[in-house]
Amino acid sequence: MTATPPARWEGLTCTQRRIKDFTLDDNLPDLGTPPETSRRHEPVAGAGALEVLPIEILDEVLHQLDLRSLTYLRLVNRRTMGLVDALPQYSDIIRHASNALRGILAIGTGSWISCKALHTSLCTARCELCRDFGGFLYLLTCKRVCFLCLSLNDVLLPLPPSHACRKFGLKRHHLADLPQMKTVPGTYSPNRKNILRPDTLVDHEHARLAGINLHGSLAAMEQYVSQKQARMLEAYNARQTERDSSGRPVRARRRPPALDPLDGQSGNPHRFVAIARVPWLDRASRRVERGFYCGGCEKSSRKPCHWRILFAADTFEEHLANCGEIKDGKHCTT
Amino acid sequence: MSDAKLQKILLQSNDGVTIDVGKSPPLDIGFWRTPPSLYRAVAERSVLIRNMLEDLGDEGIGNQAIPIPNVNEAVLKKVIEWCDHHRNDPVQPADEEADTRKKTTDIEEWDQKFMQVDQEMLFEVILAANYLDIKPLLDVGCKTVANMIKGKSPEEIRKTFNITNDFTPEEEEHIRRENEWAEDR
Repeated sequence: MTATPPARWEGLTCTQRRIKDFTLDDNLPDLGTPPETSRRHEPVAGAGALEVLPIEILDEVLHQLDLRSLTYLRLVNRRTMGLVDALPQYSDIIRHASNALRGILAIGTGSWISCKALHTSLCTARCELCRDFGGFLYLLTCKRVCFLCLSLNDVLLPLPPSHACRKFGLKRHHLADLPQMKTVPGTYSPNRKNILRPDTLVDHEHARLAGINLHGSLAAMEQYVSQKQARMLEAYNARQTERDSSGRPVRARRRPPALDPLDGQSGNPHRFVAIARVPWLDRASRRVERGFYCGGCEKSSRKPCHWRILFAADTFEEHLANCGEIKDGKHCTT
Repeated sequence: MSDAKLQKILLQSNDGVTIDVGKSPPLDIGFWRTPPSLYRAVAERSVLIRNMLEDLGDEGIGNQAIPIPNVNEAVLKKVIEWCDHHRNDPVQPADEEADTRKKTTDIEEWDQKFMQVDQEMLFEVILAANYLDIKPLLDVGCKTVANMIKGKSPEEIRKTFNITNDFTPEEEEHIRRENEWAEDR
C-alpha cells in the first residue's frame, strides 16, 4: 500500500516535479514485469546436501549471504529459488526496491552489501547525512540519502581511482579493498550527461579514511598531498620556463591536474551513477512512502524551502510549522 | 554449583558409546588438558546438557551417563572438542536483535580450522549443535556453509552441494534474461 499525502494537504503538495533525474535505475534495461511468484512451478529436485538441514538453519545460512550470493543461489534450481524468495527481507526488497537490487548487482557492489543492510536502508526514512526525508539510496555503501545531499555533499561523490589517489595521497594498491563500483554506461543527472564506458569509481569517504589511516592523521595527509602537488607544479613551471627560454624543442610536461576539479553538483553525472529512487517502507504500518514535494516551495532554491526537498507526513508537518502555511502556492509567514 | 568438586560427566552417544567429558582425547589436538574442575564448564556450553545436569543434581552426575540420542560418537567428540576450546567464552547476550551490525562472515581462525571437515561431518556438527543447543557453534557452522556458497556461480553451487537443476529450458532462458545485469562484467 502506498501512502499518499493526507487529504487535508490536497493542493498543497505534488508527487512529481517536471524534471527527470536520470539516476542509475533509469539506465538499467527495462525488464517488463518483475519476477512474480505465480508462474513458478513446483520443485522436482531438492536442495541436494543442504536438504539435511532444517529450514530454520537454512534460513540462518541465507541470512549470512550477501546480495550477489543470494541472487546466484536463486538461480541454482526451483527449490533454492523458493528458499531465497521466502526470506521476508528479500521479498520486501523485491517488492519495493527491486530497482536498487538490480542497480547494486549491475554496478558490482552486491558482494559486500547484505540483504539485511539493503532492507535496513529500505526501512530508513531519513537521509543519513541531513535527517530530511531521503527518497534515494546511494548504492555504493547502501546509504539512505536525499537529493540535496546527493548532489552537494562530497561524501556522496564517488571518485575515479586516479583522483582518489591524488586527493588522499594513496597508491593504487591501497584502493583494492575499498568499496568501489563499475559505472553502467548511459545518461546521468538532470543535465543528461553521457557516460560512455564502464569506469571504476571508489567511495569518497572510504578513500579519505584510508588516506588518513596511511598518513597517520588528517593534517599529515593534507600536508603530504599539498607538498606533492607543489612539487609537481614546480616541475611543470620549470619545464615551461626552460621551453620558453631555450628555444629548443623540449617535450612539454602536463600541468598537474587539480585536486578538486569543478564538481558540477546536480549536473555531475558521477553523482548519479550509484543512485536509485527507493521508497521508504514503514516497518510498523507496512506502508510505502515515496515522498512528495511542497507546493509552496516550487520557486525557491534555498533551504529550508528548496524545490527539490521531498517530504513525508511528519517532515511536512515540521516544514509547515517552520515556514508557514501555504496560501496561493506560497508560504505565508505570519 | 561448585566446579571445584571433581565431577565426572558421562555422555552416551546414539551408537552406545559412553564418553567421559574429561577423559576422551579430542580428535585432533593430541591430549586433553582440561583440569577436572572444568568438565562442567565444558559440558555446559550446551544448554540442553546444562538443563539436564541441573535436573540430575550433584549426586546424579557421575553415576549415570546422559543419553544423547541424536548424536553419534565421532560427532559428539568433535562437539566436545569445540566446547573445550570455547569453555571460557563469555555468554552471548540473549538479545540477538540488539547487534544489527553483526554482519560479517568472519570466523576466528581456530574455528575455521575446526570446521575443515568433510561436508557430511560439517552438517552433522551443525545438527548436533542445534540439538544440543550450542548457539555459538551453530553460528560458526552456518557461517561456514554460507562461505561455501559465497562467490560461487550457480553451476558451482550445484556441484558443491550436489543439487539437480530442475528448471525447464524455457524457465532457464527467462531467468537468464532476467539476470543478465547480475553477471560479472
